[in-house]
Amino acid sequence: MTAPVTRVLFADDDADTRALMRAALRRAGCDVTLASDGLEALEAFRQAPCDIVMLDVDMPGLDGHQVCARLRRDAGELVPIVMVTGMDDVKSVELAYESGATDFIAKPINWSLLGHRVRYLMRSYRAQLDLTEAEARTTAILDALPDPLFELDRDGRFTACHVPPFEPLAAPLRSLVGKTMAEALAPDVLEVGLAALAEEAEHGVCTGKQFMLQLPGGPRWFELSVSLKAGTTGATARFIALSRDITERKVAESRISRLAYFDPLTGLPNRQSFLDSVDRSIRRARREDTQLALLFLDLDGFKGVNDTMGHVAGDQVLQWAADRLRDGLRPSDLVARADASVPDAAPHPEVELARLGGDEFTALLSNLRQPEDALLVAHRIGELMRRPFVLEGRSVTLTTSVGIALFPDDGDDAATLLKHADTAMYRAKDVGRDNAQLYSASLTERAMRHLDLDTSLRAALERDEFHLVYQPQVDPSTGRAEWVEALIRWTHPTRGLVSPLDFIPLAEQNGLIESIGLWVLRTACADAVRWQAAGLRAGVAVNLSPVQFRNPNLLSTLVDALAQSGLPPSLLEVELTESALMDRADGTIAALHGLRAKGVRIALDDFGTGYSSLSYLTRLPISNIKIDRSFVAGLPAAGENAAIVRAVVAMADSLGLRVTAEGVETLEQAQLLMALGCDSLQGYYFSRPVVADAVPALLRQQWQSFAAGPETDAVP
Amino acid sequence: MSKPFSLASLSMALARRLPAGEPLNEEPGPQQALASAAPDRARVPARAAASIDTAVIDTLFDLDESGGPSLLREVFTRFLQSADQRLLQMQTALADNEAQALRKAAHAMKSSAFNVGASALARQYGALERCANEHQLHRAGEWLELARHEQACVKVALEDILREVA
Repeated sequence: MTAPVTRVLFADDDADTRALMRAALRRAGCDVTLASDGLEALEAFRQAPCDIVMLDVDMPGLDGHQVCARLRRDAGELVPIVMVTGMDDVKSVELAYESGATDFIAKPINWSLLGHRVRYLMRSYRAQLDLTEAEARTTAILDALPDPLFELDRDGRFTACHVPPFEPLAAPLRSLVGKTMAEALAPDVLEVGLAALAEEAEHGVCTGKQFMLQLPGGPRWFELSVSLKAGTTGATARFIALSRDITERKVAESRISRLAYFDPLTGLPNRQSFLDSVDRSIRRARREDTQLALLFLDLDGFKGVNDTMGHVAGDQVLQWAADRLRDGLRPSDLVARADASVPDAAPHPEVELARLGGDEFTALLSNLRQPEDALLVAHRIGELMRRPFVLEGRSVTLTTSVGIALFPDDGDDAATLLKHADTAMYRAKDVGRDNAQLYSASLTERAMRHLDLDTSLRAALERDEFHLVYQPQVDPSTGRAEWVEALIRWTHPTRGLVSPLDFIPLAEQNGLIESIGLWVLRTACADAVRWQAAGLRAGVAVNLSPVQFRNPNLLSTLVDALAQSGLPPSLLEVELTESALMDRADGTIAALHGLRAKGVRIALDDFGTGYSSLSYLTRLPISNIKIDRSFVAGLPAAGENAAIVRAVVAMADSLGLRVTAEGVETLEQAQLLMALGCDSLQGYYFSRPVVADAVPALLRQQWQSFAAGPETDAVP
Repeated sequence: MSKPFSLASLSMALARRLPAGEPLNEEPGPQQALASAAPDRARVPARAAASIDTAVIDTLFDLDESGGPSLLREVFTRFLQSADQRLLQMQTALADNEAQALRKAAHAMKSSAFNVGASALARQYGALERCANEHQLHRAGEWLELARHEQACVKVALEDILREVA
């Protein structure tokens, strides 16, 4: 880099000094202009401005100080003006600075050093020019930046800020100066800010850290860029942080994402988004070994709306349809329709909706318990859509055809499931629209039957389709029945008698067991009271479902039923299964003790088929053990069954419990069980279950000596 | 920094500036040099050495654009032409009690004397300038008298050197 020739103006009234100065400056490579007094110097500068002005102090006319002051005024602050003055003339040096001189050279002048002196001055001058230009550039750049800039120290304290012109937040931004980030920023923003400083300090670069501020005009997003100020380090480190408002970009990104994954008309996920979601759900279902259902919906008659009323009306219907699906298939809706009373029922299906295009919608159900759940949702969708849409004053009713494909049965990838659901939807159209079809036709039938049973069961109580039958429990020592077990029967209007084995599990699942159980209890109590009124003393045993047993209101329910019927508690026995006791809670154990304290008997049903834990027997207020029919069935041939019965009786004896044997079908069995010490016997050998009206006859019956065979001696 | 006066260095200074093949006498003592009437190489600088700072010769040759004696001649000649006139002005100003005029003239002469390397003379004019500035005109007169003598010596020395570089 070759520096341009330095132009020097020198004024001195002494010709020798001028000559020497010219020689010395030329030797240093300068262009020299000479003036012999102050006015001449001013004129020379006016004609040709120069880089450095050197002025003798003592000149006739205007002296050096006056010339300096005028030049400073006219030529700006930067031009170096050097006063040449006596070495001992301190006062003159002071005056020189007051009049704006840059520096001074003492006389006698050291001519050999003068050139160096000028070079140093020029370097300083040029550095100052560069600095001024850099500052001007920086200022211009900052003013052109639309972003606020902050300077922070190592502790995160704002030490300065630059706010762009027209910045609406100028005042709050400026007020940050002097505060630390910890004092001024919300915790989440602070975290981003500190992370940005740390990243910059560690890696020397930090861009793209984003944060959101809740501002009066709404939420705004910002992106932070931080750089360490050159030449600062450690405790003196200074960071420059630029905070760019990227809200518009965020909004655009979110719009792009919505366009990519959501249907702009309805706001529902689009096909791509739906397929992604199905893939994710399939992976999860595989992991968790659960079922999925993919429902394919098509609005029957939608094409007609589009054709007769136009696309605007059609789009309106699609939006309303989407709204109905969204609003009507929330988990709470599905829970309310199914069973909210079963305390630990399996989680209900989660529904994800999408619009594939046209009038085709899909719903993905995860956490499916059984195919029927999918049909229920499909029926719900049918109900939602069947409500009339009011378009331009006209009421338009649409139905829906739904096809359902199940994972894993009907396919194990999204495309297959979608294809099969589509196929099933066309079958729904074929069979007359406004219905739902599973991809597997036989499954549809079975599920429909199950659903039908469910629906019928819900109506059975109202329609009085249940009745009770009773089976006697005979005391072999007296030959008389003092207790009967109540058993429920359901007569379906079209199917006839339905086995409790079929409908009790369903009732337990859909929560009807509570009301059915209550009906059984009340009916049995009322029947027993009637027999009592007829002078017959008989206790009644009622089965309790595990679901009922878990209900915290069990005790009060039973007590209320007894009180309402007037049956003495000592004539009621509740039968529980071992599985009901398995998950017993403290509350229900307390209920059992409460019942026992009132005199209600508690029987352990089906003993021997479960865990047969002795701890139940010792810790719970059991009064009666019922040996399961499977142990009786093989008797008397099966010696090991006899051994078990003997052991159970021995154990029960020692605990003071009664033992009832179920399933007694032959005289031999009755004789053996009596010999083994059972306290009561129940089974077809004595009587099938009979209707309530037939019970009094049984109660009057006297069964004779078992050794003599099934000879009965009925008492009229 | 001005180097301390030494006859040897003055001789060296001239020797460096004069054409080659004109060796100076070695070790000429001051008395010997002054006593000698012959205008040889040693005598001229020896006489000049009493009043002139030898470094100025180097400087003036250095500053000369062609490295020759032109600048030296110009500066020395102008001093010789104006010095007595200014001395006269100072004497008049002193006689007229014009301290300010005296001060200005002394200041100018101080500067001129420095320019030709007449350091002693320059210091005397400097002292004169201070006295004039402080209106101590009696003492100013004493300094002016000293300066008059010294200036005569300086002139002789400068003329000698001018002849030498002619």
